[in-house]
Amino acid sequence: MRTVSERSAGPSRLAYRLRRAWAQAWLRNIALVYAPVTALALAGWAVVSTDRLRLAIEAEVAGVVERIVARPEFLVRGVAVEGAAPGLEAVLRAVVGPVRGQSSLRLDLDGLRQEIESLGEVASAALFYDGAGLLTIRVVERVPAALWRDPDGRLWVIDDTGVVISGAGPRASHPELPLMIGPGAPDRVAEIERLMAAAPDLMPRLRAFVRLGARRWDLVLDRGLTIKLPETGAERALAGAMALHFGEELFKRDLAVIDLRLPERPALRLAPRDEQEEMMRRQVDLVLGEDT
Amino acid sequence: MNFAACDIHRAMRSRLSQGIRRGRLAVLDIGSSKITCLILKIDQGKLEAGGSDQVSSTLLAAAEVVGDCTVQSRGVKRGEVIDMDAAARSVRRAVLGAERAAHPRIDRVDHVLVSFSGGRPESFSTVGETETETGQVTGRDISNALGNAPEPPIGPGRQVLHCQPVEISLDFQSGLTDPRGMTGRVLSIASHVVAVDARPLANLMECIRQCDLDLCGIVSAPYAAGLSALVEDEQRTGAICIDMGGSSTGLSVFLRDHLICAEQIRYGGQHVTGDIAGGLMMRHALAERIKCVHGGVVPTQADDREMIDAPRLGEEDAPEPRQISRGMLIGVIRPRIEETFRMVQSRLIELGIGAMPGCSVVLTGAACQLPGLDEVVTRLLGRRPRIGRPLRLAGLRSGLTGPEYAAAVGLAMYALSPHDELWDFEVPRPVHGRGRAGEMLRWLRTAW
Repeated sequence: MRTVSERSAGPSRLAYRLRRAWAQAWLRNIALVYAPVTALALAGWAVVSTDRLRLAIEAEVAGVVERIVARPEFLVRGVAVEGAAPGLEAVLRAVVGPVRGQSSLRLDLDGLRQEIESLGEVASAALFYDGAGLLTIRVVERVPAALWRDPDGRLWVIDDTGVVISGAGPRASHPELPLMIGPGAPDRVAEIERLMAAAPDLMPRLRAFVRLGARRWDLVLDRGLTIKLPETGAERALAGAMALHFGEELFKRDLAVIDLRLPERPALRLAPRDEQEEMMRRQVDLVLGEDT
Repeated sequence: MNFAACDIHRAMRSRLSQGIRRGRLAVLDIGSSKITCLILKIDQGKLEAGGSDQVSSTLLAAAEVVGDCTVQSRGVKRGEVIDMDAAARSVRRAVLGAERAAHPRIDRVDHVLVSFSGGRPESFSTVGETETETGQVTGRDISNALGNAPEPPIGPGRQVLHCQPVEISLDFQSGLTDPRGMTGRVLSIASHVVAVDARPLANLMECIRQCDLDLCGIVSAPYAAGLSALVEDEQRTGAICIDMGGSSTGLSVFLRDHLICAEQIRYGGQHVTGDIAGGLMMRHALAERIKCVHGGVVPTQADDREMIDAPRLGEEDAPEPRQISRGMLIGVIRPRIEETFRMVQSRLIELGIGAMPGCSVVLTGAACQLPGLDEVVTRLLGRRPRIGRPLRLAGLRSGLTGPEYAAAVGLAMYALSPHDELWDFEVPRPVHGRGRAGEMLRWLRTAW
């Protein structure tokens, strides 16, 4: 008769054999690593290789994903636009319009941003989604710096980097912007700004900056006066001309062309005389003599 | 001696070397009150470098105790299995516990060396002589000398447990350790044979078999205790190791590095406990506790004033337990101890060791921690004993350095450098045909 329980007396032969079998590393590895991995691999292969099964699983997974995505917690409810003028804001709302009522999980913020930045009026844009249904668009608008008439004769508003912002209406609708003409002109907005700074007094008379041969500038003023600037040192040449103007009122004279292309030798061409005016002048000369 | 009777030992030896090759070996000390399992990690390279004749420091460095477990022994009495299932369960628990405690972690250990403390061991001596074949001693000559020794009268139903060549002499030149290659005519080898009852031994082997362990050898427990508890010089000049275990007391006598006698007295610590429980009418567990805490052998004047709570059997919960004086307790313990050591004394006198000079007495086993035991031993055996603590093995926890673990550690040392036994030598074979063909055949046989 045994006074203690069998368990406290020690393990039975079967339990002992199992424990010692389990103590063998190879058996443990097979049972814990290789067998489960193989079973998983076989199950995975069975799913992948059976079209019906795989399609059913894929459909089921897609359905679950769709149900989660469509939950009202994830919907985009409103769009806020910051930093845009009213006209641009309407355009932006039109661009992101389809986003409202969509799930925020499907929101492609990067794509939207690129779409918005492809608008001419927008210099840069940042989009935020606050997780509670509000999509915020923060944009920086482009500042108009000049008008540009392209070779086809259309007018465009461009910014200081030469990017076309929008088409311009008639010239008179943008009187404050300088006009640039000629190929390659939009890339040189900075140059004309420097020229304008060099000759502020000339600006009211200025009609257009004409880029010639993608090389140098002509300044076209009113009354048919053209100032031809050199390829290099244009500002210095213009400043020299302004000095001449202050001394001798150069620009008030009846000139057709002031040629500054050779800085050391500026050349002037008179405006062709009107026939009638010439006749009057001759008559005055005849009456009053040469000295007047 | 009959080599054919040793086949089982020969098989266990080959398993021992296999276990050492694998580097993992368990030793099991199966006693009557506890079973201790030590798991050894053995570095075979260091073991071979250490040599094979002496227990040297390099030899001990080759092994490390990586795990140990001690469990209460069930189904074992006087070192013999009396309940196969309970004993096997205890052994399994010890082995699993040691495997789990092993650090660094080991998978499992299959080879096990076991001690045997029961079976009424009896020592015999037998001497065999042979004339050397070539004038120079060869392994064959040693085998022949061993084979020529007359069979000792071990009696029916008994089996040889140890058979160790202890005295080798060549032409009256005695005290040789390894005569191979020496020149001489007559080789004489005296062997010490320990015989035990065959049936308890078979039961022990069956018990180990039920634990799915490969038995690598069975070592007499007092011999193992002596191996670890005696210092080398004691083994040489002569020493008596008294291994006082749970329900039997083992006795081993060493001289000139050899075991020359192993005996068993079938009394032990549990008998003392039984005396207390019976004599003072107490519960067994309580008696064991009082023995360990208050027990003693030598009465002093203060004993009658020292009162011990000793509730009577069935009155453990009484508000005022019965009290006994320590003197009463000693009065119960002392007769059993004296009886045990009188038996030791008479056994030693029978063996003719009682008068052996310069022979130290070393006590091991749990029961030897009883205070005052040394006084009784001194009076009865005429020598002052010492408590033998096992030699330190690498990795041995400090909790395992008490005298009760001497046998377990001794087993580990036996595993590292087993003493030459009869079955370590070749079986002497009658020479069939003289001449080259016979020689070649013999060479082929020995080579494979």
